[in-house]
Amino acid sequence: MTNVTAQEFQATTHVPLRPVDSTSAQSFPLLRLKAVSKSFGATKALSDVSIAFEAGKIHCLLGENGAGKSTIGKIIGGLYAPDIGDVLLEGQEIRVNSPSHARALGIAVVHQELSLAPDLSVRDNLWLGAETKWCLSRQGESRRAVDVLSQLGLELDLEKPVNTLPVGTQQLVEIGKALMNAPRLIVFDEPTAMLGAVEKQQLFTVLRRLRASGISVILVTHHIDDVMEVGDCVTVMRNGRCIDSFDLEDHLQGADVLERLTGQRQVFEAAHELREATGEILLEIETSGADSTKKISVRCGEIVGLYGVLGCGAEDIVQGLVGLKTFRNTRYLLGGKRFKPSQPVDAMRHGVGYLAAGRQQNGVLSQRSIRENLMLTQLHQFSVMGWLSRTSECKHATQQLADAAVKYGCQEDAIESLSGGNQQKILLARAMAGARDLLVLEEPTAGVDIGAKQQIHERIKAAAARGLSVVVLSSDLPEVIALCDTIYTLHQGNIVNQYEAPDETCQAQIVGDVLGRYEVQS
Amino acid sequence: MNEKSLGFRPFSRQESILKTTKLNLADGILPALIVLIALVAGAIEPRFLSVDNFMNLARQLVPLLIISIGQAFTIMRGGLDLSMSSVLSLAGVAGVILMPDIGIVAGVSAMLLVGAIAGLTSGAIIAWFRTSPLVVTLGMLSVTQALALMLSNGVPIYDVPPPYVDSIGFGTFVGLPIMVWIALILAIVAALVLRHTIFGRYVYALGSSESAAAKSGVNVRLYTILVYGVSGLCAGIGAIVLTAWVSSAQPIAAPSLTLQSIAAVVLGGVALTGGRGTIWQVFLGVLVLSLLSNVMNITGVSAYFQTLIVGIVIIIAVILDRFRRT
Repeated sequence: MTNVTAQEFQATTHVPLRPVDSTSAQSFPLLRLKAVSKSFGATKALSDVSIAFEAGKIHCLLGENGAGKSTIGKIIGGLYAPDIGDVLLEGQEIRVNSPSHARALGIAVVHQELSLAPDLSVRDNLWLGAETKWCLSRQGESRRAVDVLSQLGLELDLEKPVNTLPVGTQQLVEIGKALMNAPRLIVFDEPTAMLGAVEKQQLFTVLRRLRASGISVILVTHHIDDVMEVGDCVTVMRNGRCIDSFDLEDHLQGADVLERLTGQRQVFEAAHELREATGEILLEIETSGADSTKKISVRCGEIVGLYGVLGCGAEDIVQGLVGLKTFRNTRYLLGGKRFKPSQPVDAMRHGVGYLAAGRQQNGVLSQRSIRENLMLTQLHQFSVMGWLSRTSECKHATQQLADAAVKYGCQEDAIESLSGGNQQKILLARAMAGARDLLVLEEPTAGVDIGAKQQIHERIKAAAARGLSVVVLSSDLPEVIALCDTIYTLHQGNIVNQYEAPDETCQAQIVGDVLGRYEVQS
Repeated sequence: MNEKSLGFRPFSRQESILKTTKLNLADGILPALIVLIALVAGAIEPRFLSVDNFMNLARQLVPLLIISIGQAFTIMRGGLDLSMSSVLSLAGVAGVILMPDIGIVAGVSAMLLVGAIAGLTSGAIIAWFRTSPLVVTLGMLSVTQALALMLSNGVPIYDVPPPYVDSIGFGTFVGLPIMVWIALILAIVAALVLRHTIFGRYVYALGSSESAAAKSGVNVRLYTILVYGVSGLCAGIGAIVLTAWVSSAQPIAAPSLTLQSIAAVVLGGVALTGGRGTIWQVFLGVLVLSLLSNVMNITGVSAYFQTLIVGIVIIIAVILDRFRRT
């Protein structure tokens, strides 16, 4: 499916160029933050931040979760007002009161979560957020919609409901919504978080197109790769302060930026030791494709990664494994026996722990405490006839939170009070508690900062070293390579290749596999 | 502090004003409101503050409290049960019909059984077919109502054994009516179950996020069925109390009880979206509603006007609930 949109991309080469506004005075940057501070209660989200955003550039805001970069986006977008400090648009001091005020000033914000109405058509969605005149003919609406889509290099059936489009394309429609009001500046808040490798490339192409048509872009991200790929300049943030701000020249490497970001030169995650896969085979997955039957085998203590773009079938394999779906063409053998769980609780009875992707929807119980979230599925150990022993539960919770290196105040605090990384550590601990033989992980580090990510990786590796088998599904290729003993690549429901003890050199081939330009190894 | 918890909320500035004056119905406002109503009522009508009237209030409150406890389980689970009062009618009719033949104890057990079966059936349909509890329990309302009318031929059954009426309906134990004891013990058991058992923990978990609970290995079907089993069982207990109190089994008994129970639960401050709430909150909600109706009865406010006042109180409660959850 991703191929189709990629072709659609290349098919349209004509970009209607918007003339760069020559009247915008040379001496002023398009937008400038001057000594801006913002607090939420006792927490200082931004302190004394000054940034100048030049016209016609892609300016990246890079930092870990909680660094304050999203707050900047929200101040520019009119969601928050700064406590102190000024916002200047072309040298004029402005006060952005609301998102609609920001729109009127020519500032648009594309948020991380899609705000599309899934059942409405592409055209209706594009017009949803737009400033409408009283009445507009259907042709007029369509013409404007086609204009905007061509700005993105997209040709879509305007009457198609957006939920029939691939996620990557939906995100582009979301960007189209922002373009409806002909903005001068667009803020992207973590646009790549939800996207796989191919969708990311599509997005970057669009960002470059926007820049070419004279629109300034602010890209809020915590991926250095994104910055290296499309950024013209970058502002590095940590703990609500600007650490550094510089143009990205060609000679700069990702490691240089990371050095400036963390203040120390970092080795990318230590190459993992080659462990001999001598354990017994615990799990076998057989998928019978159109032409052949392929097998994935997972040994005890082995970390196996499944990698592919969205819709490649890896998700289905994992969901079948934990009983969320059933497929006729996929068979699972767990410990040599046919394994066909009906729901996750059934899989857990067989010693399979599961960490689902989508922390907000499928992970945390947002209204409940840290302790209740962590202990959710281990309660049987602390109960007699269903009656819980609070003391023993609390003791185990304390122990597990310490093991998982979670930073928290009190077990009874709401889980929502924790950062994304700490929430994820708790969810991982919960999944591991249920994993006697096999741990199934979907996007184990999505949306967590670098520090938490490394801790989570160490936890997973330690569990594997104790003999636990792990199946990882992740759209983060460096993560899969760093974490896994064996990687299987998938494309359109088929297993393409198998990589034992992968390293960075495999990267190109793996990307080739999942995009469909592969030669089947015999 | 992290960015996630700040979240993306338009008009966050306005919200922060509300946050500083955090309203918590159960912790402050409701008890204050209860005292206020009592004081005003006592000033207007001294009879209100008599022991007799308090006993009366306690009895009036029992059926609503029992039904509201059952309702609270379904609401905390993230659903609701619209069939409760008609399940109560069916259980009452069935139990009273059987009572002369099989004895009082067996008759009472039959009421509990009928209630539990009706609830478990709703629960099973909701859990297996992943259907909306609103529609399923609405259907069950109609089915059980029809069965109650068919069993009783549409007329109230007055053939209730006197010992049953005398003991449960009008008997007392240590100064309190037996039916008040029943409601009190049920409330305490329900509070303990929610707080100290696996079942209670899963009720909250399912109400908070069914998807998260399911994916981390909670048996969603089993516990959903059990939750509606509890609401059905409470309807059965309600039937015992009500048939004994009015010494008859009505095929259409207390039809407004279901909606009142939802109102009481919300009024107490239990989130309608599920995942949160305590039996104490439910009790306070029930107390306010019962107190209002008692006061208005005693001061001679017309029935139509009473309905109006109760409606307004419920709407205000929901608005306060919005503020509380910012």
